[in-house]
Amino acid sequence: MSQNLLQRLNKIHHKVDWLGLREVKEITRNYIARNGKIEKNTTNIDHGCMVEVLLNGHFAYCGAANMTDEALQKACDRATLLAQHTASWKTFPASLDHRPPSVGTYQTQTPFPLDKASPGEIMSLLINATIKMKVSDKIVNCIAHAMMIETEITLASSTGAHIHQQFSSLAPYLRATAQDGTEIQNRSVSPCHQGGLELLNQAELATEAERIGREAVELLTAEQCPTGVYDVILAPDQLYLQIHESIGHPLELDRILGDERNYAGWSFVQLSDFGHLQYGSSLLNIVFDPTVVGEYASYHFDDAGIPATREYLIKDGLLLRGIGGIDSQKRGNIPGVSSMRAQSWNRPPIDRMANINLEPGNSSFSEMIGSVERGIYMTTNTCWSIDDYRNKFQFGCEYAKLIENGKLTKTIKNPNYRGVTAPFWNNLKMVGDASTFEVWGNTYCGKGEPNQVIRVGHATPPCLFGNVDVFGGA
Amino acid sequence: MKMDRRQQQKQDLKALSQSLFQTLDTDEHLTLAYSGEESLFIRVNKTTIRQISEVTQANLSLDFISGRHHTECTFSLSGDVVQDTKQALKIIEQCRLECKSLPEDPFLVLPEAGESSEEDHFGAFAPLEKLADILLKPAASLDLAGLYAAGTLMRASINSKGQFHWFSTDNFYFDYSLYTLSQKAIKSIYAGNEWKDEDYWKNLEQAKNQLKALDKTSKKLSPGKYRVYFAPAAVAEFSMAWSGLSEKALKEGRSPLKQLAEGETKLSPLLSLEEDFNQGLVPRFNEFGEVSPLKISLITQGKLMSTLVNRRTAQEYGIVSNGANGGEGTRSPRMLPGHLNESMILSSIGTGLYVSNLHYLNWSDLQQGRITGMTRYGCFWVENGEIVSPIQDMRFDETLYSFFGSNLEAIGDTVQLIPHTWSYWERSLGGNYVPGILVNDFSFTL
Repeated sequence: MSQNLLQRLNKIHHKVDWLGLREVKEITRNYIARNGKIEKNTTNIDHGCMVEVLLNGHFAYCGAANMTDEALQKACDRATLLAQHTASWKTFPASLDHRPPSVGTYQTQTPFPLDKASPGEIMSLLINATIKMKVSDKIVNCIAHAMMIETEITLASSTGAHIHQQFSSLAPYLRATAQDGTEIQNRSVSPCHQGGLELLNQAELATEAERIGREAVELLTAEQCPTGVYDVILAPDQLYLQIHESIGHPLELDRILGDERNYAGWSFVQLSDFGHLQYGSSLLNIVFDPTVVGEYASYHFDDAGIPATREYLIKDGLLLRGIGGIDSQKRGNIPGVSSMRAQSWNRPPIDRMANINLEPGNSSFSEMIGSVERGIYMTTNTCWSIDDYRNKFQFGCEYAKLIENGKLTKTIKNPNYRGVTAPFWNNLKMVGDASTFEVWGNTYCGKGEPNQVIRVGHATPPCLFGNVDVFGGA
Repeated sequence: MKMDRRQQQKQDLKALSQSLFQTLDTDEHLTLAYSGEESLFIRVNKTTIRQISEVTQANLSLDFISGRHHTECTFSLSGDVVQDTKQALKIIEQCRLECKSLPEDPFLVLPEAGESSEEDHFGAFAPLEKLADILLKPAASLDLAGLYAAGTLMRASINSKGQFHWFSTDNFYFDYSLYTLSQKAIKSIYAGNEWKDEDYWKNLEQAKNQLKALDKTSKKLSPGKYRVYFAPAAVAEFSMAWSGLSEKALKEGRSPLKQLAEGETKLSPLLSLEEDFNQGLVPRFNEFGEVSPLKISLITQGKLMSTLVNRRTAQEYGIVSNGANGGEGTRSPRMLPGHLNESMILSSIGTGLYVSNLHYLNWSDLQQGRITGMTRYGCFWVENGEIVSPIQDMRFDETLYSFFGSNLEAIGDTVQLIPHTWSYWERSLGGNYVPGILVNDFSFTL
């Protein structure tokens, strides 16, 4: 990584109003074991620089993997040409206010950096986990995967911005498949956090591996999820995705402004809804919080160089603020958050979620279960789909328990539910307390044209929802 | 990209690979997979330019085998052959160290000597200095959102046994949608190798005409079963079903086509699917350097004829590879046409739905082949063979054994290419060749 990006920027000859460089180096290591054997060991080293120029009120971008002075000059010249040829068709006029001269750093805190174990040591942990998963002859496939990502992002600009951020992340994934005749069931677990090798604890891996193996076998003989309208408690490893799809995406300002209409879609939320729309029940509190230590998408600055701060998006159920970076905020004349982020050096930044969290409430898990006469507790997402306005959704989970007279009873298979976003969140009846709060996230949130994936974090307690349309397998 | 620059890329790649192969010990093997692009992207919202970007990027994957040990490393090529060779040599040293610490790979795929190939497709793009006017002036009175992507895509596979495969193509697409004042939309795409203003104008004019049909108030449908015609772009979304043709997915219990493979259920005798490389949209070689047959019959008249098997799966299960890629996905799928003529579509629907596009499909019950998703863009209610009104978007939840099976009534007589427009990490090659289909009793749920 170039430590002197600002000096290198100053060597570039240009006639633009503002020039920015964003250098990204990301090393991703994937270790995969399957059925007691090595499956794959891969490393990906992605390194390059995006040159961004502002000319005649229009941003243009040119990315190249060559980091020589000559290549950066060429990319700057090319970006300048792109801006010149298209500025008269720009969507909105931009100014220097869009790219402040921020200076700062960020580094993931970890006691055990990712490079402190050999591939063989990590593979051995994973192979062992697949062996632990095979609790029965009915387990037909076991996968253990660890993805380790080290990222360095450096920003420098002609107005003096200089930001250096270093991230270390780890995402293990375990999946057990059980089969009995034509019946096949899966259980999996896929946490993801910022941190180091402390997140790959041998004992925890083995315990989790055994648990999902047992539960996969248990599902083979479980009853089908019933069909009907029920109270439903969603575990954090399902609810995080419900938050992502039906709160995170519809609040993105670039969607509301129409940028995503041709791909991911629009939003039922309009600019005029902020400050007025009762998005959920009064128990619903959602924050944009890139300050949580260890959560997947924590950072100090976004890719426009805007300092990241914690902000309420929804307070007591009322919609307050959208997920939009400086460009969308100025276009929409509306407050937002520090959320302009790019997949890597090869894409321009767009409005993205960071950590979007549902704040804990006051109910213990046993209080929530105890309050339900007949309902379903669902855990671990397996299916997700939502319309292009983020209204009509359908989710499926791997594993569920029936709740009868305030107690968890039978295990049930193929649990699914569907609904419409605002009525669903307005049926939020209880929110788990701090003791039930869990941090999850997603490595591959897709959006944008050209397409981009990004890592997002979501933390939440389990929550109880009333009047949910539930159904089982085919 | 000009021919001489592409030749230079090839020469650099050959030089780099030779430098690497020379360093290998006798029990070491190396397979290189190259992927490169020069792409221009123009993102459009409200018939204005939201973002313009250009990227030149290339990656080289080193699949390294030492004895029975195996590891892979991919890195970004800078384009400077000296610098890239230096980095690749360092990576080989790193791979050697990794191999020492890793257990033996039980299903090694060793590179093989074989024929080499070179395939280049050249195109012509609209000139950059006029591009914004060319794209947007004809649509100036419209609300248009979309993405123009253009440039050269390159792929190569080279191995230490002397095999060299190269594929490159110039292509572009303008994937766009038009909106009414009430925000109903029509989707279209103009794609090819050679930009022609007249063809783009025709494409845009056709989309404009379709937009007029959206003027009426949208009909709200109740959940239930409907007779539906799915246009080719919607059928292309159902192609997720073909992920189930992976032999490994079948063996691991994660294929939606398991019932078909085990003979428990059949698909409709109207349905046939081939892997067909005759169109030349994608390279026939895979990342192992294997060359696929020009044509593989996958499903013929509803019966499974062949799964997709790569060399690693073949090693593991003691079967024969048919040149599938690492993920054993279809690369050039072509659904065969039927007899439903375009002029007969509405009358064949009678009363039901015309669905042009689908959105956000996912498996709601993989084992049963059940898919959920949404209707999107111009979808219409049809009564007595005539379009009555657009519909409010509906969620569906239906099994492929129904819509590709017992409830498949007819298949369109024309196969259309729906190009892949994915650009995660890099632009995709190829697309789906699909006809429209007419289906009875299709389940909408919300």
